[in-house]
Amino acid sequence: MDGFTVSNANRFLETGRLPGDQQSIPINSSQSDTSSKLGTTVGGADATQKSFADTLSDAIQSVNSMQQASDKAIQNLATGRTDNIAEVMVAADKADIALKLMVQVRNKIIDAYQDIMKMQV
Amino acid sequence: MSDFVTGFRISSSGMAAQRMRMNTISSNLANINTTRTPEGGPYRRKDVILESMPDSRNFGEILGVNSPRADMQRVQVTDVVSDRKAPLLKYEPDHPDANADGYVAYPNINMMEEMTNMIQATRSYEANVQALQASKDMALSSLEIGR
Amino acid sequence: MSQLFDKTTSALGTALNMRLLKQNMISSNIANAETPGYHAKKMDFEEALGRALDIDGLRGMSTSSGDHFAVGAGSVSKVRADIYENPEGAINNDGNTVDLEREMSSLTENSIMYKAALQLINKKLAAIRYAATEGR
Repeated sequence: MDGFTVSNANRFLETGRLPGDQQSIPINSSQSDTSSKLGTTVGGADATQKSFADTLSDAIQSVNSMQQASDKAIQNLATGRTDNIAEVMVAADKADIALKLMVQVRNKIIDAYQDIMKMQV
Repeated sequence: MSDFVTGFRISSSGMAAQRMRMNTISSNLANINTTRTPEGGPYRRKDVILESMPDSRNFGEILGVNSPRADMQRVQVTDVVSDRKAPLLKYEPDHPDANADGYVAYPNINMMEEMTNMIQATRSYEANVQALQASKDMALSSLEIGR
Repeated sequence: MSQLFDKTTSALGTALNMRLLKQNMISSNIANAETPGYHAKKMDFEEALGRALDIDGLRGMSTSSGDHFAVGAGSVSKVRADIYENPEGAINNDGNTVDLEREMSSLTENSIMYKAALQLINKKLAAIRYAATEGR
């Protein structure tokens, strides 16, 4: 499955690469600038392959923007600018799930780090 | 001051008022042919007088100038009045209540009018019940915060 | 710590209070649907809430004293409802202007919006709680 799921995150930690072909698949492909995200890695080392830190910060940005979109939708509902309750609920849920996902990924990263630190060298 | 209890009180006042109105309508229908009453004369049609009153628990709240809560009005039955229309006169010289000319005074009650009022009272009562249910629904669901 | 609960959460809280007030007002209209001389009431608060949230991005005015009127952003908790007599009602012979059908539909709509606001505030608080307990 494309995108930044928990199992993909595990694989990413192990291999430094997201699943799929050898392309470095962007996390929030729907929202970002496509030109920079199509920086593909064809078979190995490539200057445009994103580092883990960049990927993580992109993920956080994506969660943040989802939260902001959900906030905007909620404000619109409370002030009567929209009466599409279903849309607001879906946006709120999306933001919620994205947040939960990010928290779990963060937990996994910390656990992985702690595992490594426990190793006797 | 604006809480669910206010809403319950207002709706229940509406239900009580409609119930009292229903009682007078039943009384009118039951006595549609009553020619003799303790006060003398035929039965006179009864009706309720409804009045709206601000819903507050004490005098201070009624006088509270800058509270928009004073706009919440209960309804109250202030009076049950008897109709002042002239009774119907029917010519029945053999009736025990006939007057000197042989006419009997019957109550001036129109059954269709009473039935219409009954339907109206029922409809208002149900509307108040629905308002009460909606308030209760909201109150119960707000218990779910944080669950 | 008050930064933890953002503008949207306070806006939802205010919306809940306003919806409750409106519920009581609609109950009042329904209870007085047959009272002679009673004029149906109407309530508006969405506009005031939208202005307080600064939803259009127009900058609000800052206040330096507690007596200044709160205009614009930052005053979500001080939003006041506007209750007035509904000018659209048709007057019956006894002076009553309550339209029972319209009140019933307002009742339904208000109840649903209250529940929506409730669920949303629940979601937001649950998200903060989740982050606080690290999801474990």
